[in-house]
Amino acid sequence: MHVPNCLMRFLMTTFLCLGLPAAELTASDEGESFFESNIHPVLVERCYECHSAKAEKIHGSLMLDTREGTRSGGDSGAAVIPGQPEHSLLLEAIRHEGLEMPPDSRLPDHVIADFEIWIQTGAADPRDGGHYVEKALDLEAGRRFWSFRPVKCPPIPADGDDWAITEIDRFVALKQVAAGLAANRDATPLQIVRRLYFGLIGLPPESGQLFRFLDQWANNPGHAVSITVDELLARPEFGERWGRHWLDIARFAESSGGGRSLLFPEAWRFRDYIIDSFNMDKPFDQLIREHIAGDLLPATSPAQRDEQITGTGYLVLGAINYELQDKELLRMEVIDEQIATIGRGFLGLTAGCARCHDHKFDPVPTADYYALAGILGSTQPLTDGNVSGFFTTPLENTPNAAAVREWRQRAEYLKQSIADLRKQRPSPENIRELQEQEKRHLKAKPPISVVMSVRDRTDPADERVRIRGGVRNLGPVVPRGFISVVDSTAFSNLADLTIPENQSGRRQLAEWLASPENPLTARVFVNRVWLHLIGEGLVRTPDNFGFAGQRPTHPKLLDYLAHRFSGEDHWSVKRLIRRIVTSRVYRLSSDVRKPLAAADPENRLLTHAFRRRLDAEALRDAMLKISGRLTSDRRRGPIFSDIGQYDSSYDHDRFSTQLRSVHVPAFRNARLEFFEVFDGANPNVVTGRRNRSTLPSQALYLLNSPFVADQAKWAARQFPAAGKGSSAATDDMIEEAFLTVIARPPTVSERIAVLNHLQTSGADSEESASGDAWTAVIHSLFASIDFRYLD
Amino acid sequence: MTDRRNWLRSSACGFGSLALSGLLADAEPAAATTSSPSLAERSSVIVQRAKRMIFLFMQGGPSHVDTFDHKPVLIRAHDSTIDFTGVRFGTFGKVSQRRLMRPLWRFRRHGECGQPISELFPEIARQADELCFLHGMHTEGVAHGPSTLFLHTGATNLVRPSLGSWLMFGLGNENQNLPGFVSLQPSQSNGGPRNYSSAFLPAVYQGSPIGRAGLPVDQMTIGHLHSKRPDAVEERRRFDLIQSLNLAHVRRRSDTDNRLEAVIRSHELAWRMQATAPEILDISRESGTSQAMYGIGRKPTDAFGRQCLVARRLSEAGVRFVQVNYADNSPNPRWDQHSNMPRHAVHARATDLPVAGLLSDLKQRGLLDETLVWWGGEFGRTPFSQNGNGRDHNPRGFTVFLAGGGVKPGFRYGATDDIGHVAVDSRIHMHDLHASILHLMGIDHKRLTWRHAGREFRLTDVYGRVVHEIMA
Repeated sequence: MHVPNCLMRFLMTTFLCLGLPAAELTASDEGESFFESNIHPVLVERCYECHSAKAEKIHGSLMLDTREGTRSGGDSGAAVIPGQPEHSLLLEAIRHEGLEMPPDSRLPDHVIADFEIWIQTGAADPRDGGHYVEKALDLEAGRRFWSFRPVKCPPIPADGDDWAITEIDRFVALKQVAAGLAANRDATPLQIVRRLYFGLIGLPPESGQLFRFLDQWANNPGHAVSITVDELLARPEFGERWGRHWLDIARFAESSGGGRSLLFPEAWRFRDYIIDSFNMDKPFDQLIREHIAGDLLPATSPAQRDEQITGTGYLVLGAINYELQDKELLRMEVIDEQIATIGRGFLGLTAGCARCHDHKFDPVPTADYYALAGILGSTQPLTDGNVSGFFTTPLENTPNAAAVREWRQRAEYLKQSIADLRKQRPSPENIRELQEQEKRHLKAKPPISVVMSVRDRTDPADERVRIRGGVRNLGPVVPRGFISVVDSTAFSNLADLTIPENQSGRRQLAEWLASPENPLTARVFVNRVWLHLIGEGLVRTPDNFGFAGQRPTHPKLLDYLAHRFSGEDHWSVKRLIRRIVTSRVYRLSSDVRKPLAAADPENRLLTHAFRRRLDAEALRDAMLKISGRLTSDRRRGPIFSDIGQYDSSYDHDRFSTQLRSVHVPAFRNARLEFFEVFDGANPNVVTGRRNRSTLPSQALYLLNSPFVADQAKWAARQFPAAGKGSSAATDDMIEEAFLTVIARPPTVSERIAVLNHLQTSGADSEESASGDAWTAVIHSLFASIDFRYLD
Repeated sequence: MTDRRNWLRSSACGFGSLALSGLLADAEPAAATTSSPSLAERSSVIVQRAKRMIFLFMQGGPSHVDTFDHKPVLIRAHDSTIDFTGVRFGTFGKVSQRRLMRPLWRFRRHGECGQPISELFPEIARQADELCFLHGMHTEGVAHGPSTLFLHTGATNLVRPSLGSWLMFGLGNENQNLPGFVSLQPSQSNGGPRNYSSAFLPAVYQGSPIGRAGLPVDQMTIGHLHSKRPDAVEERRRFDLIQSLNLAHVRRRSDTDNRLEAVIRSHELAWRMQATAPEILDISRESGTSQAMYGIGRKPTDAFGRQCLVARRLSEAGVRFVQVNYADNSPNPRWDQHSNMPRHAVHARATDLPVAGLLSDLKQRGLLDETLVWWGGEFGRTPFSQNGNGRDHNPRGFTVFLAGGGVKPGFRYGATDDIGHVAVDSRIHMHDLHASILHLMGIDHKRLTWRHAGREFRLTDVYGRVVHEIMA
C-alpha cells in the first residue's frame, strides 16, 4: 500500500516539474530578435504580475520569466513545447480555450498569432536562470512529529504525596512540581456535583440530589463522586448529552442547507443511533467501523444489520449543494466534504487542504488525498437528478419486513417475466395481462422504512489527481490507500488493510482508522472527551493535531489516556469518562488567587479548573428542566409532516418548545433561534470546540424572549405558596430557588437583594403581583452569571 | 486590573452611565490561542474610500440585456438562432440551437455620460451620472443556490464567511449600539442564513437579519428588542436585579475574569439597544417628503421603499454593511423570469423609485461619498429565449452597478459580446468585484485572512483582481 504511494509521489513530482522532455532547438538570431520584440514585452506586461519571481504569489506554479520555467510549465504541465503550438498550454490559455489567460481580458488576435509563430519556429528564448521548484514533502521527517509517532504507554510517575487521587493526577502533579507550583484547592462539593451533572448528563441536579451528595461527601468524598458517576453514566440522559457532543463532530443536520435545502427525513435515525450507541457504551472502534463501512460489516440479525447501516449516514449528512449542475464537480465536492469530515473528526488532520496541492504544513501529499478519494469515489452516496439526492437503504428489522420482502420479490418476478416475454416474437398474448398485474402490484407498495446510507459502486476504481483541484484537470491515477505519514506497514492488522480490486476499500479504511496502532484516532478522541469534561483539551486545537495545531500541554498524559482507552478499556467511552472525573484535577476550584493566576495564566499546568460557559443545549435544557416542562419525547420521523417542501417552513415555536435540545430538528437553513444566539455547533463543519461569544443579542434573548420568560413563569409555579406566609417561608423559598437554579444557597447580600425586589414589587400585597415578582426572581437567576457558567 | 475594579464600581453606581468603547464582545474563535494577525498588521497603505456599504440585492437574476446592457446587434438578430453549449444537468456539454430574443424594453441614453438605460428604470436613469456600470461581470454556478452563495461568500458549496462578516472582521463596528452587519428581510432559501453567516469567523462578525423575506415589512425589527411585559418600571427593577446579582458574583471572585465582565457589559448594551434601535428602525420620524422620495405610501414601491429608507437610517447611524434584499423564499426568486419576461416590469416598478430615492437621499445628505452602493443580482439572463418569452440564467456575462464611495461616477467598464451572452472585454469575475469592494473599503483582499482548518482563508480564495480602472 505504501510503496505505491511513495512511488506515486515521486512520479507526480517528476510529472509536475519536468513536464515532457524539452526538445533542444538551437535558436537562431532571428528567432531571438523576434522573441525580444514581439513576445518578451507581452510576457513582461501581461504575465509577470502572476508568473515570475517578482510575483507576490506565483499562480499555478508557472514561471514565465525564465526559459526553463516557460518550457516546463506549472501545475497543468508543459507551457511551451518548441515546434508544437497545438500541444503548448500557453497558447491554449491565451486563446482562452481552456485556461483563460490573462484573466482580465484576451490578448489581441495579432499578438496571439505572434505567439503561435514563435512556438512553431522553435520558441527561441535567450533568457537564462533556474526554474522554481517547490520543496517536496519530507514524509520521514513528518513521521517524527509527535502526533504521528506511535502511542506508547509512558511510565506512570511515582505517587509523591496524597494530593493525587488517580494516575492522571500524578502526570499533572509532576509538571506542577517541576514548575514549582501547587495546585489550587478543591472546589466545593456543591460545585463538584453541579459539574458532574452538567458534564455527564447535561442537566442540573435537583435540590434533593444536592443534599444527598453533600451527605455522601461528608462521609467519603471519593465514594460520593464514584457512586454519583456510576448513577449518571447509567441514565438515558447520558447518551443524549454525549451523543450531542459526537453530533458536533459528525456535523449532524436534518437538511442539506445551501441552495435548495434538501430535507433529510430519515436523519433522525442516525441521531437516535448515536444516542443509543453512547448509552450502551458501544466501543468507539466499533462506532468508527459502522460510520465508515457499516453496510459492509457482517451481521447476525436484521437488527444488527440495520444498526450498522444506519452508522453510514455519517458519510451522507454533510452540507452539500445537491443543486450543483456540474455533476462531476458535485461528486468531487461530496468526496471533499467526506475527506474533510473524516480527517478533522477522527484524525485531527486538515486533509482537505491536499485537494489542490501538497499540504502546506502537514506531511499530507496530494496523492494521499486522491488515495482516499478513490475509496470514497468507489462508494455511492448520491442519486441522480437535476437536484441530486442522497442514497437510502430499506431497513429490515421492521414490522412489515416480510411483507416488503415478498412485495419486492413479486415485483422483480413480474418485471423479469415481462422482459422475457418481450424478447419473444411475436409478443405473446399474456404480456398485457402481466403488465396489468405489474401496475396493480406497484400501486400496492407497502410502506418501506429507509435509512440514509451508502453502498459500494459496482465498479470500484482508483481516482486521478485533479491538478490544482480543478475537476477536469486530470493528473495521474493514484492507487486507493490512506494517509501515508501514518506508517501502517507496522500495524499488526496489516492483513486487513489491503484493498482488493473489486472493493471500494471502505472496510479497510475503517480498520485503519479503528486500529489501536493508528497514532491519531485514540489521541484525538480522548482529547475531545477531556475537553468536554475539563474545559480545554490537552491539545487545545482539538480538530488539528498537525503542525499548525498546538502541541499537547501534557503529552505523556495524553498518551496514557489514549493507551488505556484503546487497550485495556476496549474503547469504552464510559470508562474513559470515569477515569477523568474521578481525578483530583477534575475537582479543582476555578477561583484562583492572583499569584497562581499570574504564574499559570493560560492554565497550561492545569493548576485550577477552567470556568466553563454552559453550552446552548445545557442552558436551554436546564431552563426546561427547572420549569418542569422538559419532555422525554424524541419526536422522531413524524415531524416531517409538519413541514412543507423546505426546512425553512418548519415552525419551531409550535413544535420544538418542550423538546430536549438534542431532539429539536436540526435544519441547516432553519436552526432553532436559541442555538443561533448561544453558539450552537455550526452544523456545516466538524466542531470540536464551540465558539464562546458574549453578545448583546444573548442578553436581549435572556431579557425579552418569550421562551425564557415562559420558563421563568412555569418555574415560579414550581415553588409552593409564592410570596405568601411568614418571612421564614419566604426565606426558605428563596433558598430553594437558588439551590434549584444555581445549585447553591444565596449569600446574605443576594438574599437581601431578592427580598428587596419582592417587597418593592408588592410581593406581600396582591397575589398576582407576587407571582410576577417571584417570576422576575427566577428570570433574573436564569440571566445570571452563576447560572450561565459552570464553576 | 484597577481599571476594571473602578469600572465595576462606576457600574454599580448607575447602569448605563458608562461610555462603552472598545470591544463589545468577547469572542473566542474556535482555536482560541492560535490568534489571527491583528488588524494593525493587516491594514496597509490602501486608502479607505468608503466607510460603509449598502448592497441592494436583486435576487433571481435581472436581465442585463433588458435593463442596462444595450445590444443593438441583439435587436437586429432577433429570432435568429445560435449554437449553445449546455451547462446544466442533462445538457452539460451538449450543443443545441437557441433563438435570440431582443430586449422587451426600449433603451435611451441618459445623463451627461450617455449611459443607455431601458425604460424599465426611469428613476434610476435620472441618476445615471452617479453610477458606475460594470458590464463585463461573470460568476460561478448556474443555479440560484450556488451562485447566490458565491456572490455572498465567494464559494458555491463550501461554507465560507459572508462579505459583510469579512468587512466587520476587517473594520470593526462604528456604532456601539447597533450590530455592524445587517441584512434586511433576507430570503430563507438559496443559501438562506449562510448568506449572512460568519462561518468560521467568530460569531461576533455574523450578520443580524432584520425581518425576513415573506414577512410584512412592519415586522422588520431586531429579535427580542421589546419585552412583552407592559410595566416599564418593573422591567427596570428586573434588569437591576440581574445586574446586581452579576456584579455581586464578579466582586466575590478572587480572580479577574474578563468574560464575566463582558456578560455584564452585554446586558448594559442590550438595555441601551432597547432604547436606541427602535428609534433607528422607526421611519415615521422621517418627513413626508423624505418618505415620498422612496415611494413610501404608494402601492408598488411601499415595501422596498421602507427597506431602503431603513437602510439609509442604519447606514447613517454607522452600520458598516447593510444589505437590502429584494427577495422572496421561493426556489425561483423574484427576478427569475424563465417563461415570462414581461414580469420584469413588476419588479422594476417596485424597486426603481426606492433605489433612486436612496441614491439621491445619500447624496443630498453628503453620505454618498463615503457610502459604497452596489446594485445587482447573482447572475444575468441569456440573450436567447426560454419557454416562449422567458430567459434562462446567465453567469457568463451580466451587469451590476456601483455608486458613491470611491468609484468613478457616470462611468461604464467592460463589455459582453455583441449579443450580451459572454463577458469579453475588461471582464470582472465576482472574485474581482469582492477584491475591489474590499479595496474601496481600505482592505487588501490578500491580507484579510483567517486561519481555519489548518490554513489561511480569505474572501477571494486564491483569486481576485482589484479593478483600479473603476476607481475615482
